[in-house]
Amino acid sequence: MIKEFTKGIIKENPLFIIVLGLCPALAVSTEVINAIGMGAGVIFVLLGSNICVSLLKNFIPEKVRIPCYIVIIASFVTIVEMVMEAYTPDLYKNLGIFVSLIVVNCVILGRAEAFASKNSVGRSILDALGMGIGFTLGLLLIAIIREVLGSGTITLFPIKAIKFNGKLTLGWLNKNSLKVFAFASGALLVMGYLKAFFNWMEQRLTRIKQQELENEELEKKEPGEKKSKDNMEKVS
Amino acid sequence: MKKLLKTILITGLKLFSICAVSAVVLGMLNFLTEPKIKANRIKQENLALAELTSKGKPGEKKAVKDETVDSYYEIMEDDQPVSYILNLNGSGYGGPGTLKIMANYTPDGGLLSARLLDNKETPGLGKKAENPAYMNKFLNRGGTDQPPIPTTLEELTRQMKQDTTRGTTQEKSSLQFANFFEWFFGKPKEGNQDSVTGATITFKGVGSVLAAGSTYVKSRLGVNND
Repeated sequence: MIKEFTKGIIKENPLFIIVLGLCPALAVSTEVINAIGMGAGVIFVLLGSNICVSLLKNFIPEKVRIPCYIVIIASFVTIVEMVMEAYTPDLYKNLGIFVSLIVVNCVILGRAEAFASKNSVGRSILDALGMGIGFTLGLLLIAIIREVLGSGTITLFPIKAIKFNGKLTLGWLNKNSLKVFAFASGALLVMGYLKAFFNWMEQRLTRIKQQELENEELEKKEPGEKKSKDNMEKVS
Repeated sequence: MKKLLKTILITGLKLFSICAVSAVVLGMLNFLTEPKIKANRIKQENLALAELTSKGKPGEKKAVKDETVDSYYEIMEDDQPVSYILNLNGSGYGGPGTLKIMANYTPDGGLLSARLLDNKETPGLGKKAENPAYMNKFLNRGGTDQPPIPTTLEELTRQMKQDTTRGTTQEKSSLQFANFFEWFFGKPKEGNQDSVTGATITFKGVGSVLAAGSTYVKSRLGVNND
């Protein structure tokens, strides 16, 4: 069961492995605060829609399942929009049209169709949390690289109690920033390198697993044969 | 036939019930968040009003029935109207009515200053219009002895080149900017300026709204209406 949660974080990360929801991810990852806000919105919508779709899977008719999923997802997105506009107006302003576009984020509709409509509520909650956290971590990684290199800052939420204005300025980098990372081309560059890294990691993990499986099989099949092979090697 | 009708009816009813529950939930949430959202908008408008008022004092807000103009403030100094601050709305990348602008005009329709308020523009592209410096290319235009407010990138490029030949301020940077536009978007062709990116749609939206505001001031409020 725990696998349903952990798979979305690295093994089936929606951004770097399944490559879903790239458009908003690249567009809003100019500042760390945007990534946190967008990630929180996606986790909430994913969780809500997965729970509802899983609960209603026997009620929703097969022929109109996609319109039903869209109505459910759109309702959760509207909830996020209203709450954001009321309580975090600056973040709502920054994210702009991408909050509304969560409705058509492939991660959400994809999980509703591929997972929640076929599994129990418990599994769907774990899947939503895993995928949502995986998406948020991916977004955060892109945003941190882009903001640190492109602007030499890290933008977070301001905290009045400790007189923190929400912006960490990274001295030398702030004055000598590589502006390309703040633009759209920088987003694609970062995404490309991160995708290459994840591909390399995935291949490496698969190779290690395959080797382990082969070793296990060899041990199970003929332990005597292996011993004789070792003896032969020693003699030679 | 009866079976088919029954299936269609049940499917329709089920879809309707999901929509109805969603509508009720959203209606209730709207009831709870609306006052807070309204208060935020008023706060934002007051801030923009204070920023835009360079001289004089704004009078009461007057609502109007117009396609682009929602309301306006008369700015008075020594009992004389020195300018008009208009609340405007237009079409941006998010569709009609999604571009909210507040702009200050002289009584002859010349643009003094402007701020982009609520909008649904694309972050990184059209959203750049929120930067106060974005509005600089529209300032000091639209008045009686001024060039018209540009509503397309081609018009802006042409105006910038004319500015340079007339020998006005920012000669070098203006010509460089105009040349960059031509290099980036290609040589302008009449009527070929639609939907390139969010940035061009936003420019067109902002330009059209500001031009409509200028026309409104000229025809209904300012000098021609005395």
